[in-house]
Amino acid sequence: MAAPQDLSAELAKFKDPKLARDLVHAIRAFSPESGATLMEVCGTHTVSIARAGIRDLMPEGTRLASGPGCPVCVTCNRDIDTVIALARVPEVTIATFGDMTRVPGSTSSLLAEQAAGRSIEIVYSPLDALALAQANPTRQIVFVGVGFETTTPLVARAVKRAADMGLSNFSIFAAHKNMPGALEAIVADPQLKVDALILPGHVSTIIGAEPYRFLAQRYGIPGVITGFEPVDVLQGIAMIMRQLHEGRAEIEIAYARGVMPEGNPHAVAAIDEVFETCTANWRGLGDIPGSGYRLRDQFAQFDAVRRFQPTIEPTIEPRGCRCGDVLRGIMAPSDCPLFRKACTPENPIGPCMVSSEGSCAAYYRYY
Amino acid sequence: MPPFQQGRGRHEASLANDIESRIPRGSDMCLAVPMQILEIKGDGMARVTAMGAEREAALDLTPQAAVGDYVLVHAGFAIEVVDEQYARETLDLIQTMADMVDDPLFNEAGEGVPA
Repeated sequence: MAAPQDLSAELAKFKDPKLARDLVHAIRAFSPESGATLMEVCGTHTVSIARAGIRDLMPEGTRLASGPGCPVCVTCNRDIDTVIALARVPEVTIATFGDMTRVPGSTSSLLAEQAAGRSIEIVYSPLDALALAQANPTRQIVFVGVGFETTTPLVARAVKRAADMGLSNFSIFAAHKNMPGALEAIVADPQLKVDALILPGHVSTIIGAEPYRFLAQRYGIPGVITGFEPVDVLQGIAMIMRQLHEGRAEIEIAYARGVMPEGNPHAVAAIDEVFETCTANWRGLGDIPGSGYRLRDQFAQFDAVRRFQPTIEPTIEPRGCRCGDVLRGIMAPSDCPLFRKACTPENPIGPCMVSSEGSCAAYYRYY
Repeated sequence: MPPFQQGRGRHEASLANDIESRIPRGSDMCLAVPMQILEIKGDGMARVTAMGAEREAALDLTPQAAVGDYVLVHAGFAIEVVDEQYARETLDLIQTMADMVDDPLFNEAGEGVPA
């Protein structure tokens, strides 16, 4: 085995400016004269592209559109209201990733609920939520399960561990979603003209390349699974441009150090053990069959909604907010009338301005 | 009612942010940081390190991981072992692509025709 320092040196090369410059030239050489719209469908890519200024390096006619890749952003108002309703159950402590606390629901947010005295804990890992449950036997810990395939197996493992421990004061709000279902909705929408997809890196670490093949085969859309360093992103775009140039539509992997073609079978098995797919409602995309995960019957006692049957307020969509159009790549954040005026990170109206992975927040910070 | 026992969440989250601020890239939901395994403990947890910071990661999803391996760590779990050979092969591939611009058929304006 090579010395470990070797790999860290290799990893540093994925930030090398010289390599990045050369790749920009390759992208320019391959890009179609008629222009092309590439959609990135991972919030972490949205941030990488904005932070590294990659949009400005693209040749004329090339548009980089952001898709429905920010988990907090695609969570519909009804689901956010449900979490808020759970927070109002007296014995419940909500354990959540930080991004969720500031997202406005119909009339409140978790942060507002916390200010009103409800118990909200920000955790880094679902295992921290388990630890909270063990340390606080008189409290009911509800973990907010949002996120794509990257996060779903972790939450599945937390549920399985809770079941193995016989932990009766732990449950989850299950709102996990999977990426391929949303991508089909995007490419099948005649209103959207997406020529190619920059496919998510760490979602693909879990599911591999196979679940995307139909995009190339049935819809003729090339896709490249892409990493997150600036050189990774440029390499992904260069491989897409090359496919467009050669008239190919295939699913390729530009992030082979983190993605096996078959994915991580242990993680897929962890999801399958605890969850089954169901119809999910996405902000901006509506109901998509098979794109959500719910707990299997044998783990149904860990379903917080079933356990507490909270009263959920009627859903009100934020007035004038165009998050739905931003999430479908129809509208750039800066084209929304509320952007930088009524809607800012300090006073967000829609979720795309709240989450650090949201397109609106990325545009606000970097453009 | 007994006092609420604060979790490690806040501390861990700030540590994660700290690491992420030094590794220049995005936020938390699908972010995974390559970290090296220092020690594997009996309970399936590993001590991992990156950029001088140490953390714990569960190895449920990467039972094949060994001490010295780099793993992608996301929200307290290793989700994959970073493949050393593929890291090198990708760099070679990128270099090949980048080198194409030196081909006389290419030029900076991008009007060249790839061979």
